[in-house]
Amino acid sequence: MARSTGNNNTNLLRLVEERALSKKVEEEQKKQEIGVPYFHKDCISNILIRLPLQSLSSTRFVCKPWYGIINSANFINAHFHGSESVLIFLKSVESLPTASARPEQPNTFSVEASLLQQNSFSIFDHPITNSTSKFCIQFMYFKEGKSKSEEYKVSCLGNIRATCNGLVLLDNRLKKGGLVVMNPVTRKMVALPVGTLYPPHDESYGFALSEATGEYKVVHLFRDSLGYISCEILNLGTRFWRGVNGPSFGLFGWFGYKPVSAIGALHWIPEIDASEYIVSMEVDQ
Amino acid sequence: MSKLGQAKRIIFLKTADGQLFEVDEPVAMEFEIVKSFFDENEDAADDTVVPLPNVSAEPLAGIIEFCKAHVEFRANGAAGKDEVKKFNAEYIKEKSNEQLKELILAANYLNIKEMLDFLTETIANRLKNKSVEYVRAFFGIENDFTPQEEEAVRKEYEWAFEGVDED
Repeated sequence: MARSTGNNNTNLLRLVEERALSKKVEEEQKKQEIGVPYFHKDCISNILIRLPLQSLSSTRFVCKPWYGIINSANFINAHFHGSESVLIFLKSVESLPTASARPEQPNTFSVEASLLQQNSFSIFDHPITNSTSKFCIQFMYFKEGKSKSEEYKVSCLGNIRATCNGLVLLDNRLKKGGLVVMNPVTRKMVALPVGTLYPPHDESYGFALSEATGEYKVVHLFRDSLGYISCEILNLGTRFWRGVNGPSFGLFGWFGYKPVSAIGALHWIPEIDASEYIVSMEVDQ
Repeated sequence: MSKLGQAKRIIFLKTADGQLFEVDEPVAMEFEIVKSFFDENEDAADDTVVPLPNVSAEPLAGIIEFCKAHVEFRANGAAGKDEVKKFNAEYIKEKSNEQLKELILAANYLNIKEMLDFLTETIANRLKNKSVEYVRAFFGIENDFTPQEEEAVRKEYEWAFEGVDED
């Protein structure tokens, strides 16, 4: 009897303790709720819009509402309009550090390895991935009158053919004449179908965004042995090459200068020196 | 006041914790909420007390200090000059994260565009390159991803967690 009373007592004691504890926890939770001020979604969104992309990519995992804000099309658009233009370029890297080239950084994303994965080829069938002439994609920006360059930690084997709004049009070295469009920040990429094959010195690629339709377009000019220039255009949304009328005969003397995309058109300097005109092509039509 | 006629008008503001502030009219008119209060009640008496139920005294004092300086900068034609930058830098230097959050909440409620822009920029700077955990702690946000969800998204964006500053 006495034993059972003792048991009851300890049970009671435990119950009381537990209750007190849960009350304490509740109170703490309440305190926290009061202590944490409520931030309006617009307020958060305005703060996030000012963060650089590198920060945003991890900040999206703070909580689900934030994930929703950062991944929304409106936010992406607004952030893009608030971001500054950078100059994207390649720098050669070598597996063995030399005086001229820096060794590759750890955790570098390889364009080719990722493409192989997408296509589920065996890496061993492609000796090209062992090639030593590798590039890493870098960008340069200007701050307070000084230029600074940073790396995207992305490596590739092919050249940059054109860039547009931070997207890069790269040679796909795994497929002759193939091209890849990639976003070096998000590391998303898409392989383009092969267009008309021409040697690089007889062709030119332009990459532009049509403000009217919101679509990205790749323009490919190529010159046959008689000097006639043809043109084909690929819409990044549909990914089909379609032929259009090329520039008039004799307009282009040289394809060495990459076109510049501005005010809804691509502009080429058509001669190696002493060009008296530029060749422009509207992209909105 | 009415006797002096042209004397500068004082606006009375009452905070959530019951403190009364006397603010020069041009400074108080920086607060969109106060401005629209008087726009809507044109015949409001001069000694009308505008209640600010969402703002307490401490952040309001900080906001008045900021707006007063900026009203003066504008009057002196110093807007956008180095002087303003220097003031802003000094102003924010000794503010803790807690104070900053209170300020932005108050500025958001009072709807003071210039100050809101400045505070938003400051907070963004403090959050730049910080870890997810730091950002959560800063805002007191609970992680509502389940461990499985978090692992899945983290895997997809593994590279996004490189180059994060120490908290």
